[in-house]
Amino acid sequence: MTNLRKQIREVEIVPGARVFIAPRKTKDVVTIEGSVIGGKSLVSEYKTMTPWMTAELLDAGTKTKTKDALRETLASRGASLSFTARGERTYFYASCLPEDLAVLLKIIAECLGESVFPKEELETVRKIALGELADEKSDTKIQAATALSRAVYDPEHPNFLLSTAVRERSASGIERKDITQYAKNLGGSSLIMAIVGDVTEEAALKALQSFKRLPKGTPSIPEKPANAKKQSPKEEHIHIPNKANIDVYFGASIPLTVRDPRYIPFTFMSDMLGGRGFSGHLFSTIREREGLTYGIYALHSGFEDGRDGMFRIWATFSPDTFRKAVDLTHKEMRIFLKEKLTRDAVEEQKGRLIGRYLLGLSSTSGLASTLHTLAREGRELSFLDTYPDLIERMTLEEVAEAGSLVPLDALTVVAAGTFADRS
Amino acid sequence: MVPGISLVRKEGNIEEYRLVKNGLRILLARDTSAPVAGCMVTYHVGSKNEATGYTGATHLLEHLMFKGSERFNRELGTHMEHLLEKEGGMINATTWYDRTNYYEVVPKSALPLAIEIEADRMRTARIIESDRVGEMPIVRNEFERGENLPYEALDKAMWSAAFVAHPYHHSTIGWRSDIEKVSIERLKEFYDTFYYPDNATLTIAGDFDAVEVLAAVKKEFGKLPKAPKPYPLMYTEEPPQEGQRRVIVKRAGSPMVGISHKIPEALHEDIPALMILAVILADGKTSRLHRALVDAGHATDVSTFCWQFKDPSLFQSYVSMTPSAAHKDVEEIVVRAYDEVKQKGVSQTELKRAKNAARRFDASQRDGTYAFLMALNEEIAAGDWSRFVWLPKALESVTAMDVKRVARAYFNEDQSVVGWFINTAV
Repeated sequence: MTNLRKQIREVEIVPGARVFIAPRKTKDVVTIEGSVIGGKSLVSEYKTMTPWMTAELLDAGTKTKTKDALRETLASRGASLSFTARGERTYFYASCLPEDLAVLLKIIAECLGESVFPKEELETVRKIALGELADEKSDTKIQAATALSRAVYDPEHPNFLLSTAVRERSASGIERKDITQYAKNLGGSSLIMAIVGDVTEEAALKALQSFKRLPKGTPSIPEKPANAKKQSPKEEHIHIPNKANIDVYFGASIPLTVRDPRYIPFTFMSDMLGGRGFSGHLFSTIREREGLTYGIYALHSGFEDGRDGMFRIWATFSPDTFRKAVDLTHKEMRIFLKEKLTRDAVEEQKGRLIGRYLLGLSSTSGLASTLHTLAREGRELSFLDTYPDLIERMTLEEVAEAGSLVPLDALTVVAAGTFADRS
Repeated sequence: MVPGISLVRKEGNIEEYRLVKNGLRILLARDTSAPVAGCMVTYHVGSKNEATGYTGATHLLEHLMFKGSERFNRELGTHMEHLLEKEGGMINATTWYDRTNYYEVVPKSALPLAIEIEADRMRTARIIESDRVGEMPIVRNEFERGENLPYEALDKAMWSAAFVAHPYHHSTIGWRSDIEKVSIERLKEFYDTFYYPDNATLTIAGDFDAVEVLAAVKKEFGKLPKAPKPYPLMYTEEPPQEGQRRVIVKRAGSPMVGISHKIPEALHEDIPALMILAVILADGKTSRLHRALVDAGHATDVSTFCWQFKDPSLFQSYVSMTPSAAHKDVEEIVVRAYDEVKQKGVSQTELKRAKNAARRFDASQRDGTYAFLMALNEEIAAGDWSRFVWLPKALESVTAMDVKRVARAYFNEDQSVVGWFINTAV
């Protein structure tokens, strides 16, 4: 595990950008994951769909290439490229055969810096946006997650998600000039990109030249105050007809950012409570012992881009046993924080996390994602190697302190589905 | 290399061995790009081996296989998930029509433990009533999750309409009433019929020493007997379909259109051309259906699948519609796109694109131990693991004429099922 950073080259291709080149032995696969600043804090509530619609339009034509020419260039090489916007950033995901890396990178740079956003394409994207938003209305998981964010955050906070109806109004009203104005934010000064796979450092550096022509863009995310909303216990049900399963979120805003020394202990604690696999406390009690769910997981989310994030539990429950499952989940969270945070349990968790981290780095997409996250969290490349050491040194006291950040008496529960008393 | 284990053949970087004593097939695929290894046992039994009354039994049994075995159980403090996860490993299982698999992806030092666990639960798994009672609601909730999704609901209806006799008729999760009521005796019988080494393929992939691994496999799996009686044959054949079938699902959820056509089994010589056709129709933004549906504002998404199963299955397209689109129009657009291929064929440009996409997809199947194991597993289930090695060449040799020919052969309205998911919440 040590010296992984020595196998990866970080270059500042333009001032402010962080680009990672990670040659791996995997044959014929090059995976690219990256992002630039471009998201919700740069637009008003009424224009909230602008980042998403802009991202959808980035490959719909540039100053020198039509939509068809762009897409044909990629497709003829079997390469893939997609853009999307989420939170404060505009993301891109791409893959190609090794010999096509230069072409793919040139197209990514061209899409980010020279897109022309044809009016007729905007109308198509508007239809797609309205279609996806219409789909959301009957999606139990999305409705529950959205309502939870609205319950625990101030409306001004970046993690507060606007309702489907507000976003529909926004999608209907966005004009081409909104897109062209907003797109000026996308640029090289906030670029983060990982190039991982069957690639040499030399070939990647050569292929990166096209990024030097990117406009500067907006270099930093606008400052926003931390969440001031008082957390208080409540339970909200969203009735959606004809649903066999209820999606449930438990959650609260947490006054913590990734730069806080308690952040990694917090993720450690959250994983003990409900991480992936069979060993999380909630999985082994609510699912394995009680048989009340197919899956229940604790998630730390909303910490991207330096924001104060959220503690969340996501589970699916049957309508018939919904009440019992919710009550028992509350109870097991208390038991976990009061009785299950022991020195032995913390020691066991270390092996789980370090091993899983290692597995995660063994595919090109896993490593690309890890590098991208590392840079978004503002960490040095050396963090790749120091993370396992941090986990190894974790103490029970640190984990317990992180656990005390969970406001057990002020959790919000939001459930969406068809409830037994309202079928 | 190891007495009692014979080398059968080598294709690409994969070696096939046979454990002479009990017929266990062993595949080794070494890749030292990361200090990670994987172990997967693929049993040649899936939901295809079920019938009315015990649909979903294969999958429910898969869940019970985690409840403990002779050496790995809670009472001894050796519960398999906890032992492996403590080492940083991942353990899980999946079930589908033709197969059930159990796998571990682990730091390479934990590979011997994974082999021990899989060998132990092959014949000593605890299949008991109290565990069935506890696990049934978990599986039922998995079923309920699927029912929330328009695609899954429509897909179940489409397969049920396409296959009236062959057991691909029912989905792997099974019918709700069967999940709730199948008896432990039936599950135990299922286990005692199919879970033997001569009905399984053990695949080891990643960073390992071949001699050490084969020795460990011999030590752990060599103790197990062959099946005491022949495996029951699934002999039901689907009768000829005599006309198009149509299904409608009305429920709250996103509107969709699905179109399915009957195609042959995975090892049939026409499958590579059908796979290329699927890419040309709906893979990426230059594909025909994307242009005709998404670019035209009729759909938010379109997907085409050329399924590759042991027995004849389906070629399917699914369209997620935008609010203003009409089911009839969307259906007509898909049919028109199919007809165009039948009449005019595909261009050399489209063919080249599809082949490059296939090459990239093939490479992605080798990107990491988990991806490799899962991809090879499907070829094992389809009936010939070496297809994993030769399929890329078969795809490369597909011609435009082949694509036109298979479109004409299989895009036959009388052999199709059309499905509409109609949103009742608007």
